Amino acid sequence: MVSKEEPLGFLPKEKLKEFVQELLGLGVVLAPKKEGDITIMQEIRTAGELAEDFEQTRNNLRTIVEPQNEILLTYQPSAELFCEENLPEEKQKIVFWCRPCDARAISYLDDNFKDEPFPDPYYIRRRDRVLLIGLGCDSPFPYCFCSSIGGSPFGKDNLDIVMTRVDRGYILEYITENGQEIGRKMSDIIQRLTDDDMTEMRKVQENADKMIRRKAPDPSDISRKLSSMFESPIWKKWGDKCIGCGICTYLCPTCWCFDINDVESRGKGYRIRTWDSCQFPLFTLHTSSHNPRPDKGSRVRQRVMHKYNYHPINYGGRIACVGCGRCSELCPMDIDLISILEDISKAGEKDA
Amino acid sequence: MPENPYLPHAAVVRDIAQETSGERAVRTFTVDFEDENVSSNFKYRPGQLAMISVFGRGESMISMTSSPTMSKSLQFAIMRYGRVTSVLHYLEIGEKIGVRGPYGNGFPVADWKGKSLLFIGGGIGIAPLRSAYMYALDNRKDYGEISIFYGARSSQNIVFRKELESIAQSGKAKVELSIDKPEDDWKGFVGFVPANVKRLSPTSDNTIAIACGPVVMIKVAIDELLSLGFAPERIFTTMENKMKCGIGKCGRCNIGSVLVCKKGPVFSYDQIQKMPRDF
Ligand code: SF4
Ligand code: SF4
Ligand code: FES
Repeated sequence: MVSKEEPLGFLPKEKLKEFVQELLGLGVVLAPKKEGDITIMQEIRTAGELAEDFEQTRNNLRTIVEPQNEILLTYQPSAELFCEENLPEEKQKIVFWCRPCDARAISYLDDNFKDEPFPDPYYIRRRDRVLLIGLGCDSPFPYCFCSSIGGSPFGKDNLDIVMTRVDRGYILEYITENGQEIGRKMSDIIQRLTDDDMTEMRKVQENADKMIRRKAPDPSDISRKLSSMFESPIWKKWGDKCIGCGICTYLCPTCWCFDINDVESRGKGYRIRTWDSCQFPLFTLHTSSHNPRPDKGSRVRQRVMHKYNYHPINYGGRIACVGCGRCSELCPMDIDLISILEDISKAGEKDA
Repeated sequence: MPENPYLPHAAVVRDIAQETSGERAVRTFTVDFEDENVSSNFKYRPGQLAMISVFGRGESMISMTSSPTMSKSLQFAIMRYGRVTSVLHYLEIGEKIGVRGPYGNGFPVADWKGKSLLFIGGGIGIAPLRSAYMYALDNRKDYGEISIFYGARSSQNIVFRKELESIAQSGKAKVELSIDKPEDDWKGFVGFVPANVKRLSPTSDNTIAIACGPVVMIKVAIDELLSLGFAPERIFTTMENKMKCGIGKCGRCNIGSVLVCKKGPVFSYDQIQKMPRDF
């Protein structure tokens, strides 16, 4: 819900730390923080831990709403107690400076975890208590292609506030009532913005679009073409290059697949869920040793099909890719998603 | 918030029937939920699935082999096979397992009213079929002819043998049992189930065919059914895939865009023909 109050605010550069410090008083704050050479979106306890200049965070927001490991239930084999659910505490979390693409990706996790008739209470508890303050991308990263897939470096999906970096500081656009509420709470730090700030903001935002260096083929066209490409030779071609490490899926902000296993430690049992990947052969291996996806080609196909064909089929045409570019940038075998999409575009033409 | 779908409910094993023996033995477990409320809320259709838990081992998706028309208890015919099912075979009467569900679509038994039903089963494929034919027998007047073709490797491997023989005697259904290789005392058909179907050529008139069993058997059975004049949308089978959550979340049981745990496990042959070869 957009509020009737001032939709914009201005945060002077020198007040950034103070702003973050205030946020720390409102809940658990997750923000980009350097860890060696890379930046991780993680909990910070002091404003000083925030990385002000940062590369794309290695992780995305999936880690916050669907942690890599979590205990679903505990059990005690010998006791009267059969098993007990272990629902997460509903702590308010504030994500500070996530990128618009990562925020947008949450919509696809929502599609899966909120889906009826079995909404996932673990996910929903976390999701409902996350406030997202995004930082628009004034200088997109080398692998970004959000603008060819319905997003934008200043996209607002799922964000409560989006910030634009200008010369004197940051312009805050309040998108939701929760965002506005933050603005109200910070009224002694937040100032009104001038016409010049406004002009600068527009310039920064327009510029950003032009700075996106990569372009993917039209996603809805890809989606349609894929429907007749299950048997295409391109899957073997890419599968032969792939080593099945699963990195692409672990870094993808719209991936959600998980495994469930029982582990025991010090006399207590835990049913845990852990991230899993369709790039692993065990993912689909039957007890009978039959594997419906026995080779890497069929597993690369699953990844691409899921994002670009199956998800749109199941969820009103929505393509589950936000163009963050992580899978392409960090694949050890240089398997570039855009090159796969270009192959689809070409192969699909031949088929038609 | 609705209840936690990952939470299994305690169910007590009331009875264990040794159906077949050997390495791949089959036992039928009859279980009752400990909590009366859980029991009355557990409303299922024939062909639906439940996630069975053995804490410390994990979960396994298993079809109900009982029909909701039989009693409040649930029955599962389980072959000793995998990580979970092999420990299930160590269970004794009075012990507890976890059960959550029911999941999946089940057989469209209501749509089949007024039609004849031809069941074709092989091996442990009888488990989901039994749920459906027991349902049909308990609602006998709603259906036309009921025939059950069932084959096993040997006479020792026929699951629900006594029950099937008494169904045959009651005259409520035609039962055709077969075994793969000849045995001295065996008077019935010897050969694979689809061959028995071919031999007796049941009519496809106003008939629904339901085939469950090993993949190869189903393939041949379906070819046979098609040549007997069954339309693809009148042939039903169940599909299997590795499942972890059973509630459409963990992302591993899909065939193309279809999640088997949610939209399956029952599909018509017509639906299967439209699926990619992802199984
Ligand atoms: S990151 Fe590259 S090599 Fe690894 S599974 Fe993904 S596509 Fe294959
Ligand atoms: S794809 Fe790149 S430019 Fe676009 S929102 Fe994500 S990080 Fe920013
Ligand atoms: S078993 Fe998890 S999605 Fe079907």
